[in-house]
Amino acid sequence: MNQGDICIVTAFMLEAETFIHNLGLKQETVFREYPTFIGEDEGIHYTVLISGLGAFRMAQMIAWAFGKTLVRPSTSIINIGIAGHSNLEFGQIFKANKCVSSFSNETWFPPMVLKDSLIQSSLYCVSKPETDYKLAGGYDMESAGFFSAISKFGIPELCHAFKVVSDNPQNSWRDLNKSEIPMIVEKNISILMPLFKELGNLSRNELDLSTEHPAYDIILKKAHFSKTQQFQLSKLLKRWDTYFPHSDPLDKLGNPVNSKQWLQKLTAKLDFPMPSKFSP
Amino acid sequence: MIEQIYIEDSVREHPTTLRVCNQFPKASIVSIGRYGEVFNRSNQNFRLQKKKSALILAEKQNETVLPTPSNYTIGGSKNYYFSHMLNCLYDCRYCFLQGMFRSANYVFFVNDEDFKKGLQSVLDQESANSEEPVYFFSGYDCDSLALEKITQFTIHYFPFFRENKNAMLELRTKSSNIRPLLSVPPLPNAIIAFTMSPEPIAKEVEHKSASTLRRIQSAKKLAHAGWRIGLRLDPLIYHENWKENYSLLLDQLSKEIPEESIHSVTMGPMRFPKAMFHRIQELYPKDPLISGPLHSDGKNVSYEKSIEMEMHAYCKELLSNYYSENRLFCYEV
Repeated sequence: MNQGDICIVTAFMLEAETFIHNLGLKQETVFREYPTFIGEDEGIHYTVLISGLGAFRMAQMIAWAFGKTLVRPSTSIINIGIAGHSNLEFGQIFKANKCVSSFSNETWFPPMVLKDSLIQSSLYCVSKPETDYKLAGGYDMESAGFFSAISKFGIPELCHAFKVVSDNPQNSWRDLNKSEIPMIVEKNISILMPLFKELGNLSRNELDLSTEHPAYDIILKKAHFSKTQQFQLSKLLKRWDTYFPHSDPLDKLGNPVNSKQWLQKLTAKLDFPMPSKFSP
Repeated sequence: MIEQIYIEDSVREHPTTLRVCNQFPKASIVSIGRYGEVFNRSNQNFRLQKKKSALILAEKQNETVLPTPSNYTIGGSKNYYFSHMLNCLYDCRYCFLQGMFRSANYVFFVNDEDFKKGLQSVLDQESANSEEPVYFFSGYDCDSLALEKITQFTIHYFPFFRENKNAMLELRTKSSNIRPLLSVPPLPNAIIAFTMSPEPIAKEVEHKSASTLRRIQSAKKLAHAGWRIGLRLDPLIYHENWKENYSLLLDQLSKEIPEESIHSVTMGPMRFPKAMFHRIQELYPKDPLISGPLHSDGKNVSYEKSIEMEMHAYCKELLSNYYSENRLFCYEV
């Protein structure tokens, strides 16, 4: 059975500390580009990555993580960090339901598929800390990079930005004591953990659907398959799994001598016009 | 039921928008420019969004009423469709919407006044030289009744059809939500068309929809109230014991719904455009229906010709045992 996979991305170590400690993650020293922490908790594989300040660094780090296969398309990628807000109280957590980039005017609408009752808010990604809070909503400096990258590489339904309010019109960011950051994140961990569990399950389901049949790799070693043929083989074996869940195709197809024969034999077995079975 | 509502800026103050927002006071509201920003965005997962679809309130621009494909008929030669909504509450595995739309969110076009102008314009144009009725299909891109509580379709659109007897309306549904229909006098120029499938198919393929029994009971109640009923055996699904199951279904239908209430009975094969099928296959790679004995002719994906023909012949024969020829419309295979 596959494992759910969650990657938490933050700008600063102060925002990530809570998760590293609570989930018991260990630093992975192989990667020098970005501080990387890895571990498991309750059947979910966790990675925490720290990008540094700004949307560009965030986008760059996510692309890098995909390149290094630290994350894959089925990974739930979560951006957590502090943000200013026009009207929410200090320490309040919210989920971004719209992200607007002040650099490019691009807008993203993260699909809301989670069963949660978190406060939602627009999030404006800006290049310097906000002091006026003119537009109603949150203000951060990484979310545009986050949404830009995950909309290209990830499954947006599994990727979300959760922000904890660190400043607002009553509490200037200039007065923020750095030691308060882990504390306000920590206060919201009991809200976040059930969401991690839900996202972990969704991630595992996605991985299950994309996981190849056990015979796939064995057959690939028996003959040379072009890329197109590999794709065809993958689809045929998934159909096989639906039709004959308890039967091993390797036992039923004899010894085809080349890729073409493998595909032909599989197709012949599967195209036999048997009706779909639905339980009454 | 609806926890997320996206609202186009242009319809923010529309009376229907205000009503829907009042209906869901706890929903999160997000303002958008045009619905395509959310609905047509690339890299969306229809299957995951189906877990919790959001509602998008939008304005339908350009053409509101369009001609149907040429073979889409229930007896008339002038056939049009209009979609006050895109997407459906239900999750039928054969549904073309899951391959056609990138998003599983529901788009509700609140500007019914423009749709009615569109309907009137087509009706005037078509009626200028002929008295032949004009057919309007409302369940092309959605289920006509499933989200009635939100759309209030019957309240907004029935007056038009009451005033225009030459305009025929087909509502197509898998819902048993018939209360709005029973609360008003029947429209003589409306057909309430139920998609009817054998019970195992309704249960295993037409996810979240009303059971076949409930659909039959709903059709029966409507027939008794004076509504004209359409039966849609579309698509025909090849499955274990299909002959027995379709026989049983037809037997039940004929016993429960009097033939004089039946306006039309149609049946059609399961077919997908190739590209659409591949998108559905990617979403549900291990689904029994999608993994079934389907065949591509290069353009469409369907059952093998021999299966299609056998099912067509068998079900046509069955239907002709129960219904007169002038009520039957069987799409040729």
